[in-house]
Amino acid sequence: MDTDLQQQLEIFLQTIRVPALKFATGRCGNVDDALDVLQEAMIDFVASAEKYPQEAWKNLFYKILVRRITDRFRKWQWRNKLAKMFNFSQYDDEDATPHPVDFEDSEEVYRANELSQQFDKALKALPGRQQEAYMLRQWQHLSVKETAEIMGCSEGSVKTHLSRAMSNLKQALGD
Amino acid sequence: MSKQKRQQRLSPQKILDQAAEKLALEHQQRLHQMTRAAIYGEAKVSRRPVLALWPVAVPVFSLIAITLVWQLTQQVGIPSETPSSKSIVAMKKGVPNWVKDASAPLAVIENIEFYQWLEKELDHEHQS
Repeated sequence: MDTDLQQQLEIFLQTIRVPALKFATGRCGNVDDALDVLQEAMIDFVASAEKYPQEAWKNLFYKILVRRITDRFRKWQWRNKLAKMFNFSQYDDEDATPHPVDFEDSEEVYRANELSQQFDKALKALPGRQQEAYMLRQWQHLSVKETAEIMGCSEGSVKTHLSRAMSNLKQALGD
Repeated sequence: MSKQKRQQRLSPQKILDQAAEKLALEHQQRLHQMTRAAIYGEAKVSRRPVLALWPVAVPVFSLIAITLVWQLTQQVGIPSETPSSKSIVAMKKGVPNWVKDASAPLAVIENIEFYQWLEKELDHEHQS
C-alpha cells in the first residue's frame, strides 16, 4: 500500500470513527463489543478500500460495519444458548451502561441532559433495523439508495423502517 | 430563551453528535490504536476477557487432557529393564516342562512354584 493511500485512509478513519462508534454502541448495546466490532470493520475496510473510489468509502465502511454487527449477533445467539445449557448466567448479554447525568447548576443544562438521555433510551429501544435506518439516514445524512445498499434491503424497506422509527421515537418522547 | 432556539439546541442531530463526541473522548486512545492497527498492521487491541472464549477453550482443553491421560496410561505397562541374552538362555534351559507346555492352562503358569524357581535361578546367576 502506497503512502498517499495510507494517509488518505488515516484521515478518513479519523473522521468516520467517531460517528461509527456511536452507531456500533447503539446496535451492540455496550461500548466494549462496539469497539471490537469497529476494529474488525476498520481492518476489513482497509483491505478493500483501494478497489473503490474515495467517494464510495463512507458507504463501504458502513456496509462492512453493519455486516460485522450482524455476524456478532449470530455468535451471541449461539453463545447464549450454550451458556444457558451449562448455566453460565454471568455470560448473558448485558444491558448498555447508561450515560451518567451531569448535575450542573444550570437548570437548562440539566433539562438538556435529561432530554438527551430520554432520546438515547428511545433510540436504543427501537428494533435493530429501524435504529439502523434512522442513524444512517437521519444522522449520517445518507441517501435512501445508499442506506438501502448498506442495509442490504430495498429502498421501500428503508422508507418503511425510517417511518416506523420516527413514529416510535415521537411516541416515546411525546413530541 | 425562545422555544425555537431551545428546540434547535436539543435536536436529535445535536444529541447524537454530542453522544458520539463523548464516546470518542472516553476511548480516544483505543480508537487511535485501532486506526493504526488497521492501516499499518500494528498489533490488535481487544478488551474481550479471556473467559469469553470458553465455548472454544473448554472442548480444546478437554481433548488435550484426555490425550495426555491416555498417553500416560499406555506408558505404565512398559518394563524399565529387559533381561540380558545370557540370562534368557539360562532361564529357558531350566524352565520346567509344565511351563513350556503351551497347552497348559494359564492357571498352571500362575503357580507359586514358578516364581520360587525363578528367584533361585536369579540368585545363582548373581553369585556366579
